[in-house]
Amino acid sequence: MRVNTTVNIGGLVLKNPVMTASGTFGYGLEFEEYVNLNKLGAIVVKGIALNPVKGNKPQRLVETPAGIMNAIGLQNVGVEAFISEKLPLLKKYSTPVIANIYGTDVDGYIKVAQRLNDSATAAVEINISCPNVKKGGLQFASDKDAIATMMNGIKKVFTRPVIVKLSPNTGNIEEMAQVCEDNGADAVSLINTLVGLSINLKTRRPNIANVFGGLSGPAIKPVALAMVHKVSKKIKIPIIGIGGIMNTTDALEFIVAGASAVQIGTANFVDPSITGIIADGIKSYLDDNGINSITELTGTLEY
Amino acid sequence: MKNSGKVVFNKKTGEGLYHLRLAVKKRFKAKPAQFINVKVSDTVVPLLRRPFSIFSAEKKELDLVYKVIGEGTRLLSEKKKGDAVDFIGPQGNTYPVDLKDKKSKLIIIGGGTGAASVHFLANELKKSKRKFTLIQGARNKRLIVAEKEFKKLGCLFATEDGSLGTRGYVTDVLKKVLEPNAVIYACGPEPMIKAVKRITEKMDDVKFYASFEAYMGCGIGACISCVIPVGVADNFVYKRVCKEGTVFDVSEVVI
Repeated sequence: MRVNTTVNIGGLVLKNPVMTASGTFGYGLEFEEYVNLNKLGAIVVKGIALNPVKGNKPQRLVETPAGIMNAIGLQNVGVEAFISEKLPLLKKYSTPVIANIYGTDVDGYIKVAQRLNDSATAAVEINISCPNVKKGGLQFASDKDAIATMMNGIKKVFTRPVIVKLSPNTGNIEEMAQVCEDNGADAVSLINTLVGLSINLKTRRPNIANVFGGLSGPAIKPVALAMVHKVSKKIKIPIIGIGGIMNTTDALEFIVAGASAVQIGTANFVDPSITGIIADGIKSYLDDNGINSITELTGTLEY
Repeated sequence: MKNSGKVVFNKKTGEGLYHLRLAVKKRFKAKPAQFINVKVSDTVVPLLRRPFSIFSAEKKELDLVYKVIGEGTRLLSEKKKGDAVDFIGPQGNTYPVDLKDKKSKLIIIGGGTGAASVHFLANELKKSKRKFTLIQGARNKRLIVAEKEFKKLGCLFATEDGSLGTRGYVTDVLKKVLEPNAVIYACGPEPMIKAVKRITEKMDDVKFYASFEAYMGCGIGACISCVIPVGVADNFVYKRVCKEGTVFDVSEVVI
């Protein structure tokens, strides 16, 4: 049987639902020797700002039970260098490249999106949920007016799909998803990392120089599944599920919960080949279970 | 490169110190200061791989010398003969050695388990018949890494309690052997690298390269966690120890 693994994310057709999570896959090139990038549904690159960003002071990452906490501070090469140096090297792959973008104010986001419109970027993912930068990121996560202004601005300058990455560190993620849908978002991705704190008792200091960090990995999977499921009851645009996916089973659970696609994050650090393995795994699962198309599985949770 | 090996031996050699030898499946080429990133657990706790400097690499055998400091290294120390070990690597750059320069004195310094990385370098230099001065320091004799192997390489030891070699720090030995135009290679804890830098920065003609240790996420350049500041105090960029390193020209590192 020839199974259909393609999914449609707001007009962007992906050959399968496996995407990479921003910040865990570099600019894709770091993974060339570990996974055939053509196997992936989409590559979401490290968050890009208008100008290069130096990032936070180290220590930037710490392991926690069944997870990690990071505060990289969105270190990136800036949109110009991304377009001229990184993007051309990904051209040889058939996989669409999605740029995760962020700014320190609403205008900053719009400017990056505008610049990317004239590049080979297939879609943008708006990061309104990074917990590790002082300005931008999380300050917009719960600000409905800012999201509306940002969405309207970006839709005017960027002609391809716009995805909004939502934060779990907000009072009501369903409401925020609704605001995104109402203001023209083509899809939402969730969840970003959960704000956490890791302490060294010997020194009574935080393990991360930024004090707080974003928790990810298997530890957050149940939280992410719950949020994806709740949001799926609220909105009609596609949902991209993210949070502690380590294997094919985890990925399929997100699809059953209501996601149309998934992003693999922390697992890339443990096994840099994992995205290709999950893409194959999903195909085998459909084959083995006589399911014609992955879309038949989306949101099939019963209770 | 993804690779795997089988444990040949995994023996205790000192206080919390272990020597692990792997018979590796795929042929590989390793250089001094490179590391491998080892999967120590089959479950998600601990989640991340653990990076280790390579102590030696001969044909299809790879040796690590490590200290048990937490859950990851404890799990590694429990691996038995024949157990499979999954790893990624070798990763990172190497110490820059100019073999055409036969005059400059080469001084190699190892502190703590950083000694593993400099052992590999000293051994390679010995094979190419290039002379060097090797120094290893630790708090006491029981914390000296691979004493027997280092003695074979003519190592000078420094221990804080004087239980082996000079009483004091590696810098006390360094001051005695340092010459103009020397090239220093080191791996060890940051205070040691800093102390050596304070000595070398006063001498224009001395070069100092160190292999840095850092808390790593992925070990393949993707997560940008293991960074150190390279440049000058108010104008630097963060570079990745796993990718642009592990070896940096210490005069360019802000420490």
